Amino acid sequence: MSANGIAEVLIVGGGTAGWMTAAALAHKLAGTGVRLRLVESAEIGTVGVGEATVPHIRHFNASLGFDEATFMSRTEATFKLGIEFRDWGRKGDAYIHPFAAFGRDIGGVPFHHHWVRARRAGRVPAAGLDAVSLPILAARDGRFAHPSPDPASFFSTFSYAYQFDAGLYAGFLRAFAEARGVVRTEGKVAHVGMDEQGLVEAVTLESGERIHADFFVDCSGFRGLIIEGALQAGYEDWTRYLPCDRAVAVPCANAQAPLPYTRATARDAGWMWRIPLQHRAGNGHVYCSGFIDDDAAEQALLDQLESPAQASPRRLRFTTGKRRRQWVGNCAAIGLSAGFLEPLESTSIHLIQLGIGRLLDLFPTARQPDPLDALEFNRLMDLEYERVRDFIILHYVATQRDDTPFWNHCRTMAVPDSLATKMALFKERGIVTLYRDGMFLEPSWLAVYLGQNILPEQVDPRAAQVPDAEIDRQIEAEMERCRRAADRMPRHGEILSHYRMQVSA
Amino acid sequence: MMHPHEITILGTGFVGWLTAAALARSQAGHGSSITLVPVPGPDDSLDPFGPGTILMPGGLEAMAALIGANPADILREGGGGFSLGTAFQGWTSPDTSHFLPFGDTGADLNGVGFQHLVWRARAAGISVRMTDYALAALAAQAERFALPSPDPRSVLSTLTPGAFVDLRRLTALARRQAQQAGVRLSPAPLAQVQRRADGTVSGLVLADEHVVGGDWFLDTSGPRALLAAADNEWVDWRPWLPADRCSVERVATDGAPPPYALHRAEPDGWSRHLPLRGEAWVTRLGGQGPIACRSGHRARPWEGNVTALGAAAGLVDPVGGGGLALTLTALQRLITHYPVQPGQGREAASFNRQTVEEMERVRDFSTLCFTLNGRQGDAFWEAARRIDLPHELAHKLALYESRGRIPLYDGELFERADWMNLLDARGVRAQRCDILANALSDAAILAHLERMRSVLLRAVAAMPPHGRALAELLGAAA
Repeated sequence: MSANGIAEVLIVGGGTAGWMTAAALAHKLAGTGVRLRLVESAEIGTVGVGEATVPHIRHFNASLGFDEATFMSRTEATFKLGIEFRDWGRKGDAYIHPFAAFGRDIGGVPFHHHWVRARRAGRVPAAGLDAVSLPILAARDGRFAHPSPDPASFFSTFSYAYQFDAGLYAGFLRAFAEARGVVRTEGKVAHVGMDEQGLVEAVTLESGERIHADFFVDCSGFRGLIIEGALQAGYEDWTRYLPCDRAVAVPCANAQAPLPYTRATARDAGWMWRIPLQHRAGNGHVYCSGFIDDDAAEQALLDQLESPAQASPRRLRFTTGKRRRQWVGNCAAIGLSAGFLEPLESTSIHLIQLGIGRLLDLFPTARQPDPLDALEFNRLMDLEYERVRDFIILHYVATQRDDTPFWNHCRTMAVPDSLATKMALFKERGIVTLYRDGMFLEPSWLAVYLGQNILPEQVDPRAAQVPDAEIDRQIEAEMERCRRAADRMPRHGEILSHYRMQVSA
Repeated sequence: MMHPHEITILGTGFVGWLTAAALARSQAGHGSSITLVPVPGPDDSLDPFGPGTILMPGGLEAMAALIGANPADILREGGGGFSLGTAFQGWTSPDTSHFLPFGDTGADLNGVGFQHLVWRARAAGISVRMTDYALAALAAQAERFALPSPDPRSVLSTLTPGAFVDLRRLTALARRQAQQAGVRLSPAPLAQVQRRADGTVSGLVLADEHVVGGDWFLDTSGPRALLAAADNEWVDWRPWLPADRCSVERVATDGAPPPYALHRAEPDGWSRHLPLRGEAWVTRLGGQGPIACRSGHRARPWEGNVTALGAAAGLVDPVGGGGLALTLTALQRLITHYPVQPGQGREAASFNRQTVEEMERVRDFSTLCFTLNGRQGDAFWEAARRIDLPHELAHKLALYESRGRIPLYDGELFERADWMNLLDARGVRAQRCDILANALSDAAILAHLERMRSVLLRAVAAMPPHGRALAELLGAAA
């Protein structure tokens, strides 16, 4: 049956955002009578920097019924237990932000308060929380095992994500979407046609073909062909908080077995990523053009590659920020057309996934949309973008580096009030601000604060009531538990080859 | 590092002893001292609505954890029974009633939300009420009860009961727990508050002229908020929650208490019938009762070295039932925000933001109970329908009316199902249903609803009467 006012949906742009949207809509809207089309041009390259993900992607894949072994083999994916941040707090520092909490409450007081007391007294190493985190120990050792579904098991206390080839993922999703009726049209959009009410009516391709639709999803990337080009949603520029504005990316061969974590190394005027996939490693340099020129940035990237570049470096420019309205009239923007936050915490694909989920929750029911749908979508996405933004800014301001003009700028720049309040509460008292919406929870904030040497001046006064010897005993026991559990995990490569064999068999 | 604190709690009512027990336990072995100073007058530290109150779902466990008791102790000492929800009588018109259950209502089908299935059933001409698909509502009507099951496959796992308690009895329990942990009680009551030149509290002058000092003062003196600074203004919520007078009356009852409270709309307000074992408390709000009860909150519940808890911090019309829940979460927050140096840290700002946020969301729920009424000819109710809603609530209502969706904000104590059940029972209908529901046939939806009903009815039939279940649990716990 179909009683929809929405019969045709056109997705403008392929790439990760376009094909994730197409696949999810094709699956969820099956049987509703909504027809889906996607227009993309092979001539326009996709950005595809978002090769590392966060655990939520597993729900996305599971909801589409993907088999993990198949998906991972087709996308050359590796497992990801966290992100290693090198040289962020100080040069020479390294910490991992895992998908897990650290330690357990002692005497009703959260673990980190005890840890901070012990660290101030010099009773634990200054190297950070590695020793009390199972996934960090496993990651550093190149090990991986699936978390246990049994909540009583110590192996249930962490989560994981993937590192994959975004281009292959888009292709994998495209096959899925096309098999479910999504019609793909090759072509470049030449014109966006509006009706007299200000709604988008159709897009005209360079070939002259005109494609009508009732609702449009703009996945056209930075340009925002419809959302900005036609609807002028406006852009909120966050460069004052996140000054990096360019990147250069290049693949190379893995010099060693792929590691189950992503690496983000702070550099003189930005940072470099290293994402190990099965068939290669993705590398990139995110930098601020005010502090380094493009050639120097590219050379710095090439100079540190572990093996020769497999392609010529690709350069991109961006303006960090978000659309003032990500949904206007009968068009929602998903992906880079909605906003851009540098991939420091692997949030690009997650923000796409959130946009898709909320679009489905608020899916329009008539061509003339109820403005409330857009209002609620924009409220939720604004909240999410702002909270991710604050978390990313934290990495730049929670630094002691004063060795380059770029870091002097970051260390001393003004931050949004929403972040300043959170940081002040933590610095002074060790309390992490909690909220309902927003992907980064307490353990993530703790990983960055403590990993970048932000030790609270005061901790929970109740922590002082537990005798030091008891705290030491419990921390020791936690370290032992983590060490033993990590040692029992298989090598990362073993699971990947097992999957490969399973799929080819 | 800091020195142990001297903590002085003003008020020896329910909130005073609850706070004392919670703080004393959370710093077991700590060198701090806790002293309670009585305030003359009846105990309105939680609210002025009488000794009977409700612990919302999770409240038994939360309170037990705070004072160091078992949930079964709270139930036995509390003098009441379980609560499966609230019966509302006369709100849509003088002779109609509806029930707001605790726990789950309905179940999704193929990822389509239950409210959209109800929408479709109605469009197909079937008359349904959402709460007919809540086990708690069906069990309450039959006055039956069973404890929730931890097994998610069991239909009993959809229950999350609350409980009714007599605050005076729980005060005694909290007091025992506090005094065992070394809390002291001042022999003489408060005569006067001593302040420094900057207005901060320096001590409490007792009737025997002794002065109790302290590093940190906790104000549990009820709506009077005796320790609040003069410029810590009261934010008045009467524009949304108009009842500002009440009366309280005890009624003797026979037999087992029903597992629900009754909220009855009256021509000039409403009354709450709250059952305990062998008695009930009837609180009438609105009209010209002898007791003042203004809804609102102190602008800064924690300011300097004074932290207000209970009615001293804020009061919300009890129609939504969140009063004690707010105090329990405030106490949990007080413990995570335990000050290093009272009066100087950043804990207060964070505590206040979250505390006020939670109160505002409970205010929204209570406001909706009033504004969505269908009573004709009563000035009180006519005025309530014209209330200008706070913008968060207006957005929530508009989005539900548009498409059956409830946005939840930071600090929400109520679940989506609570909001939807209230809106549905008050006759608010979404204009549209989710497009995902279009993939389902009417037959599939009706079969799903039918199946749920029969599972729920079978489950209710297998439950013992509430009185028997309660007696067995109390016997077992004794």
